[in-house]
Amino acid sequence: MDTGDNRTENRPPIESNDYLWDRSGEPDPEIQHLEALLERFRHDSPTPAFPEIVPERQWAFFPWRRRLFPALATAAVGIAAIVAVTLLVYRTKPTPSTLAGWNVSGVRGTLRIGQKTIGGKEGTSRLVIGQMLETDSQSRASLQADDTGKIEVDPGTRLRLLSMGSGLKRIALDRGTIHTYIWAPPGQFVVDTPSAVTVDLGCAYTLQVDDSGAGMVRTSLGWVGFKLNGHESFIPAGAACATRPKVGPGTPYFEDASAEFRSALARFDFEDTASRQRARDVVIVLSETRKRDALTLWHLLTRVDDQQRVLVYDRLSQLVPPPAAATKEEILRLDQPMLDLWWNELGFDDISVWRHWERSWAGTATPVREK
Amino acid sequence: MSLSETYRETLILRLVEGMTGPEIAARTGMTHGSVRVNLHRGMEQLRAKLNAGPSRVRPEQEKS
Repeated sequence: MDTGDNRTENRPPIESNDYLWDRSGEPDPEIQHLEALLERFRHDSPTPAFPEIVPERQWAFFPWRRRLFPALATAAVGIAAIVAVTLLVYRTKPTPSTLAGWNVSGVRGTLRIGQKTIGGKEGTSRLVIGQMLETDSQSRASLQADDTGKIEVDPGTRLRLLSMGSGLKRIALDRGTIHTYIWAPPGQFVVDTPSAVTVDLGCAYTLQVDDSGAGMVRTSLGWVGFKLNGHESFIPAGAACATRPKVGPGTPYFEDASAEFRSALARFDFEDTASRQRARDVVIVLSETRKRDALTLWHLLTRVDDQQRVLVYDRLSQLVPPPAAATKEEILRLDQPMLDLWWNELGFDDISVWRHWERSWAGTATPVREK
Repeated sequence: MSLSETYRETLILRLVEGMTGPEIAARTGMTHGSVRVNLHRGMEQLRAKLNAGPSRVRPEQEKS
């Protein structure tokens, strides 16, 4: 039933001298007349025993409920606000698919990304900054980033994604083998290994790191910079370069060089031999050198002592004459601009690419090892 | 010529069935205030309609 106007809820208690209300007070003749006229229509059978009807507004009898409702309403609004904010935060929170990183696909076998195990049936996954990817002895995967390149990961490899900024994409290869095909601008893709840092200079290369931290890079396209604490090597396509913990990059060489050449070079680079043995190894290298091994001799210029440097200069001059602008004296005192000019005569890429990267990131090059 | 249902039901209980306001409230579940408002406004409407019609029921008018 419509209850009519309820705005009287807050009115004072009903007065008792209201005849219309409860027949109290002075009788109203008009109402008495109507009562008399209508009385004959009164229902004369007993009133059915209806159950008591609960009053429509119980707050009047339970004042605490009047206070409870606003509290409940406030709590409900608060909870709704918290839920809305939570949903908003959740929906705007970066998910792995939106964070900078590499897409992981072509999974064969089972590998781990962070704490998650990934199988080949799971489609494309994501390696994001701070995560580690690890393949077991049977598994492999392919990483791809549209603005950087592609990395094939061999079995037994563990790598970590360190950064994925617009100017520097960096991963760490703790162990295993990766094959990289990089189309990012030269100098932007860097791989840390336990014994050196490889810097892509527009190339494709394979990088291996064994359990001791020793590494090997083999370039198949373009060239790679290999660097640690001022020791640097440039590895053009077809060449390779080893690296060792606490020593850094060795001298790059072409792998089709003679066995004597490669053995002597490995002793020179990484074995702590007496100076007499080192001199003998240099002689062996010089005697086994072909024209394309000018690559190795150019690097040796900065790695031998003064007496041997004259021998290396003479042999390199026979293979590739020094630039007209460079004197022998300038070369023998390791004048870097003159050395760079001679590098450009060797027929590999222009060294200014590397120097530009070095100036903007790692400072000037320094002459390498002195044993 | 009719009253609104809200007022008509309350007035019938009061004038025909002879119930008081508190009894109407107890029977209908309405608050005392709502019953009182319905009674008075219904009575005003009833007076207006009776005065507007050809037959007047006011006792003093009948006497005159």
